[in-house]
Amino acid sequence: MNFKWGEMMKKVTYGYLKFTEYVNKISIFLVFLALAIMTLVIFWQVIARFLLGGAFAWGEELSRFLMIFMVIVGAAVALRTNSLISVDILLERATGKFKKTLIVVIHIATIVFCIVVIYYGTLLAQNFSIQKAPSLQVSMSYIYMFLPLGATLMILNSIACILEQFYPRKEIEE
Amino acid sequence: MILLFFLSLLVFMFIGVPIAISLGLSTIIGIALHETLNMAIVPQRIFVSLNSFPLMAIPFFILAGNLMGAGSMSKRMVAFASSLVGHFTGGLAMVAIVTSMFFAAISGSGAATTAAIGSILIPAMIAKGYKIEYAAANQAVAGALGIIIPPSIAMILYGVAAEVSIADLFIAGIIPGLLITFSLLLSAFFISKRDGYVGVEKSDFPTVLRAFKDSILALLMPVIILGGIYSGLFTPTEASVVAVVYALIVGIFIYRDISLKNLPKIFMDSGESSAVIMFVIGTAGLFGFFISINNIPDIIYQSIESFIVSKYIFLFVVVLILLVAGMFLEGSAAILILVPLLLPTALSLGVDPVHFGVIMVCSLAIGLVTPPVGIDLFVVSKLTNLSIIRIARFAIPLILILIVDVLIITFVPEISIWLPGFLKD
Repeated sequence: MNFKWGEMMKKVTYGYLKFTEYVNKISIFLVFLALAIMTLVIFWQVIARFLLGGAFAWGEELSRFLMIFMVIVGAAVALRTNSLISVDILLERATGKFKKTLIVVIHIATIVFCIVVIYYGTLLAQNFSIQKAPSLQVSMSYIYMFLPLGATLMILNSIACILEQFYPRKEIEE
Repeated sequence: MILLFFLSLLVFMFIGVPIAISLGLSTIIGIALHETLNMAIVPQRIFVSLNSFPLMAIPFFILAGNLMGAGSMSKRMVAFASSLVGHFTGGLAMVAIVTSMFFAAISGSGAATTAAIGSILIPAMIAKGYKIEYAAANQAVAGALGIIIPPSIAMILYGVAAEVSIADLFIAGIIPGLLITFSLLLSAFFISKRDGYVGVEKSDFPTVLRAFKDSILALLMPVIILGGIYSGLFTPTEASVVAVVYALIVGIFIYRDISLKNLPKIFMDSGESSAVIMFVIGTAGLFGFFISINNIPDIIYQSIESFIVSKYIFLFVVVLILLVAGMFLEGSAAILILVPLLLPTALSLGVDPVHFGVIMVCSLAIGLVTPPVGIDLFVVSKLTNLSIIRIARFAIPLILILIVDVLIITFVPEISIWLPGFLKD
């Protein structure tokens, strides 16, 4: 009975890791797009300022929003690759079970933070539903939803990191 | 409440929770224990902290640095520096320092500088008979110039956190950056004299000229960026995007060493590295808001008022705090955490905020080369396969020189604030 349960979890984990991999590929592609558009728009602003003597406010606004998107989605991808800035003196010296526990605790802490961001971030977005961005004229609630969106991606990746501790990649692929 | 808030922050950071999330979580605990604050400020302050145009210089400078590293610009700069100073005693060590200084004037980070220059010069130095540990230590320390010489991501972060003009900070960083470069060059000379590292063959004038011609487009980049900012032609953010477009045009059309195929990868990597730094900005903004709304800087000020009799004693303590913090914390995180705690006291003691920024950035630059967490050390350790501790041992005399430099910069404010004032008049 126990054995079968383990087999099933292995399969579920495998599918889940594949799924997050796919999501992260899309995420990093969107990060690329955001940065590329930011580059084009802001460079164009500089040119416009010199040629036309003034820049359009929507360019700056658009790139600020793209940057917020890039940061929160890029940070979610970085969470999966363990490249977020952290103090890893303890983690580096930890081994075996202790290390596993430590990693699980770290990701549970991350998930708690993300839940707060998702819950209150969504409320905040709702409160801003009538306000529009000054020059783009889109509802600010869409922009505020970037944070809950990024936090959701982070939870997705944190769960992947936790599952990986119990069902290591290699073992699954065998 | 405040004690629990700080304690939880230390515990989260120590067990390895990403710093951005540690800052967010401990503030959430603080808010939960607070009588009047609403949890809604969590997403709101994160959003407000990120929604800033000056910050956009960070992804652009990172991107510009990565584009330069991908093409042949760094190689060309090494060749030119080598034709200039390569023939002195300790020539290649000096080339590493001088090229790092130039590269630092385009890229804003220490790790990028160390990786780009070190991958070329460390093998060259070993081939020339330099001890591998010294070559590695020299490059790690020279890479620290990356965050001191403007443009500097650390200065952008300080400018945004402290509400100080980023352009002023960039100008203020020039003379301290040159002072540190010069002291490192001297140390390279004396160490090489002692250990018998001779220079490379002296280049004749046509060779120098050719190396100059080959690298002119790379050398023009800092002129455009810094000249543009200092003359008031560009804001730092505009200059950063001009740097990106310039690196793209030179790399794709003129030097033809960046292929279009590689571009998405470079953009993705730069986007992710920027996100890693800027995610900390978001939650550090939340953390800073919580600190100031609870008057924590006042509490700190009142509790140390009786010990700190002059601003110089305070600054000395600050340098010590920064050196220790730099050993464990990544520089940008340290700035974002410590500015809201330390700056108010510095201001009430009459310290110039631009000078304070230079002190912070230079002190934390030393953290790039001090174990256990020194990003430059990690980079050279990867390049040479030497252990961090072995490199760090060779870096000690160089680190001592940097500390002396920082103390000079701290106690002679004119080194930092004279040039911005002079240019304004």
